[in-house]
Amino acid sequence: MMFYASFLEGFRLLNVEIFIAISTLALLLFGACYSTSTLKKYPLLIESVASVSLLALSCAFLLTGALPWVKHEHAFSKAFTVDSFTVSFKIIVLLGTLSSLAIATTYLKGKTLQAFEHVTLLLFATLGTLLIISSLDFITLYLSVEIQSLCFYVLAASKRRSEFSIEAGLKYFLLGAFSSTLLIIGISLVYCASGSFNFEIVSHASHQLSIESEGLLIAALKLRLLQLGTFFIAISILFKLHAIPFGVWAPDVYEGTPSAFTALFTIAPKVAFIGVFVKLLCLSFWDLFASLKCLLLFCSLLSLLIGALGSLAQRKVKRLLVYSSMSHVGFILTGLLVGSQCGIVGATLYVFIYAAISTHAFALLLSCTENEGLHSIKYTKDLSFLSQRNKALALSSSVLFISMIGLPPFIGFVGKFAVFQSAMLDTSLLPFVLLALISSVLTCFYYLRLIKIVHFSTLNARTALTLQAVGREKATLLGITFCFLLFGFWSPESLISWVETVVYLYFN
Amino acid sequence: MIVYLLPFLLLFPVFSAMCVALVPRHNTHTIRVLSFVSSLIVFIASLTALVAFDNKCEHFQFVTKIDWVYGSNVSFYLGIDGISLFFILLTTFLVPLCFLSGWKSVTKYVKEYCISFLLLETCVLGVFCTLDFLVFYFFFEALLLPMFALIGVFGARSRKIKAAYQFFLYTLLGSLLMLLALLVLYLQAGTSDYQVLLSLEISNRKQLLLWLALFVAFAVKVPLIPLHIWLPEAHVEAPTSGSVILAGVLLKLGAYGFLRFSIALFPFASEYFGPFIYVLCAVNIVYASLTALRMVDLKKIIAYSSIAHIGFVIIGLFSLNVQGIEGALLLMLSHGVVASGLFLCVGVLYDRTHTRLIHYYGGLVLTIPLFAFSFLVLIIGNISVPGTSSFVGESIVLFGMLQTSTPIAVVSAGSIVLGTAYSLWLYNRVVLGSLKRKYTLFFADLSRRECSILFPILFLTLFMGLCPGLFLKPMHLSVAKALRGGI
Repeated sequence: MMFYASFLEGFRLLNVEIFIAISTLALLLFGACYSTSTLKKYPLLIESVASVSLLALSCAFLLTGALPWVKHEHAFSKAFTVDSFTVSFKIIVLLGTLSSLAIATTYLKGKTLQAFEHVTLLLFATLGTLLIISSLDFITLYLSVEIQSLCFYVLAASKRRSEFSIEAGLKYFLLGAFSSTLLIIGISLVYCASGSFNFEIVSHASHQLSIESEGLLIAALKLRLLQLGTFFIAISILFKLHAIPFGVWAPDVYEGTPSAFTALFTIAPKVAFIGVFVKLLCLSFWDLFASLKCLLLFCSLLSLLIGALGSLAQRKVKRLLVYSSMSHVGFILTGLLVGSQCGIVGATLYVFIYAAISTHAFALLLSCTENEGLHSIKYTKDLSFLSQRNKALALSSSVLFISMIGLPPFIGFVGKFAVFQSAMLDTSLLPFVLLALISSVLTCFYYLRLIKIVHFSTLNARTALTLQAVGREKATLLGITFCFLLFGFWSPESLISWVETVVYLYFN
Repeated sequence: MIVYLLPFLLLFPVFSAMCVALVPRHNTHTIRVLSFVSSLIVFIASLTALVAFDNKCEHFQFVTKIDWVYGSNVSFYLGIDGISLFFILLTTFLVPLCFLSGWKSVTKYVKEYCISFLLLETCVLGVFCTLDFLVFYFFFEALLLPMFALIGVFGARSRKIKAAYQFFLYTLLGSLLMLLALLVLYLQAGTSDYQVLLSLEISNRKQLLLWLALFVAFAVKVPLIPLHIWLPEAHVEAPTSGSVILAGVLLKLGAYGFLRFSIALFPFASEYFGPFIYVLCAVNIVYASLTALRMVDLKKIIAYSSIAHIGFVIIGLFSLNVQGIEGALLLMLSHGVVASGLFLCVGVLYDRTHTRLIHYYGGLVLTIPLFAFSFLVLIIGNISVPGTSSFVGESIVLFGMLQTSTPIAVVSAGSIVLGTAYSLWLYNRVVLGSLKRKYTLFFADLSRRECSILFPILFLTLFMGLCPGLFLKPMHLSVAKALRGGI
């Protein structure tokens, strides 16, 4: 009876994931039966499936909002956890997925990608992402990472006729498999040392070991093992965050992936893995943090510099966005490597703001569709003279670029300020902060170039084409995120206090 | 009522920018009139600040505090003293003139032009009004954006884009260093309230580092010699009104920052780096004057003369006595008026002939005497002949400097001669001599609009030279307070 009650409790806590899983399966079944019907002449279900899944995701969002706002509740014998921290991350992930699906539908309808399976894959990926955030156990973590990545590999290669897309899928698959291997190695090392997969038990074990390692040789050895395992796990997470040097594959993959899914690729995994990283740091590896600091410092520095310098040479918009996201990841890691509550608050705040900014960026990218042949923007020079072709898009793109630079009257500044503020608390990081500063001036250079292209450049034959009217979903999204970028700076209070509450929960 | 003055000054331009945004694009006349009238209203409102200002009070006046981020001790804390009072007046005085000067010459994107000017006004006033370091920082950075647009969109040539870039990147690098210094102070004090920061005990080593970080930020803005490259470019490429606001107000932001933050917060470091600053400024004055002599572009000559004058200002500030600082403040005001006037004169010529090269001008006095007269008064003001505003400023700066370092005072006094040289040379080439009919066939003297722009400026140049006491009186207590470290 006891077991039964806890099982039901688990259902209650994980209702979002279960709901998404069931609705996805139902959609898949519906699609599989209906699309093969000879009676209906093999209908294309993309439209109906997409709108139903939008509905399903919205319901999931509402369910997430109704989840208990509590400190640590465990589900399914401590395999998953639900607390305000994970709920917040889930909210952001669901918002991100919802908006990337909304961005994607019109794109999918117009393209030759009219298969409803893509949408169901997207839903499965969302399921994986949500499970990553809620997992409290290394096995569930690994399995959910796999669910998410497998869907992503297929989505990356979904444009079957395009060489770029196939290349992207293959590269993503090979490197993703490699990083999964590293995760497995890390997990098994941690298991060797601590004898458990559970985050909390591992934390106790590591605490115990670091106390005992003074006298006992075996404890010291185990501690080393644990450190090595943590190191591997961290590397595999950095792979997923595509922090340089573990993310050099990202530009190729993102470029080849159909634009509709690139938004999803940028937002969801990043938010989820930062969430899981923070959770691992706070719950399990707090005592081992010093050994990770070096790695984080190295990655963050490289990401900042490569992100800034690499983007200077890019001509394609998507590659440019990937490089810029690398430098954003650099900033997020800066917050993490400070290793204090303040730093983690800064990093979390930055991730949330980053999610909004990149949603805006991709909505904008897919809105710039030219009339003829639904040709979407590929090169940065295609943006030229946007200010004459569509004023609203030009304005919102300038606000976007400026908030990506992190200049004051827009939301980007809040994140950057929080990260710098936490980094300045640690005086040993001062040289690093100076470098971060210089790299942010460098990034400013190419954002300004984009603004220049949008506003100051002249017409040429290619850009003379008029733009298509922006669709309803994308216009709504652009409007919401634009307001956030514009007005978020003036009252960041609620956002900051939200992040502070959920992060402090893990420390007390 | 008077409590709401400063929020009104900050918000009214934003409000009118919103109104301008609602006017249909083709209705350019309405847009111009609307923005001109609203900037006049701001000017009149700022005059009430002058009237209501209490000279005998050394505290900040018209103080308003609006909480911003709960729990972080950062708030929109507004207030002015004798130092910022005149900068606010200078800004609100120049903005209507800028609108007038662009009345005919700006024909494309009039709406964007007016909106960015109004937003720029808010940002500049914000910098002068605020008593919170963080808010100061964000106004300081935010004004980059409208200025970037003004140079990049409304400039004359294709080189304007390079100029806009340089302006942006130079200033951004400096201000990010300022952000670091600000964070250090914020973390030590737990607040970014300026008055609390004044009472902060900062160790000497920390003072030196912070001073250097702020120095880069402000020296870029001022600009001092190795960091000045962006200024002549920006001036040359900006439209007339952009140059006016750049020379008249934006250059003063750096000097204002030096006085408010570097000198008041870090007295030890300011004294320690004094000789460094003196040498830099002496080099600055001599180099800029000599460079001005070999320039052929009217705007570049005036830009370099601005750099030279600002060298005087910084020397005055870092002489660290009351005379030096008051002289510097007066010189800044005078330069704000005179340099703006000179740029407006160049704008008048440029509107007619569309060239700024000296080579094409000559003997203008024969055809356009009113212009020749106005230009003469401003050139005399630039030379700092007794009776004009710059004379008072420069002589008080030299008094102050003589108390601190005689050789530097001698060098800078000597370089006034260089200033005379390039100013007279400029006037002589453009206005005197024989008329060059080869290049220009038709001449038109100042129109009524241009007279109404230039004559207030001429009046102020002479008025400040004849009655400097009126301007110095409100400054005394505030300057003395800043020198004491604000306590």
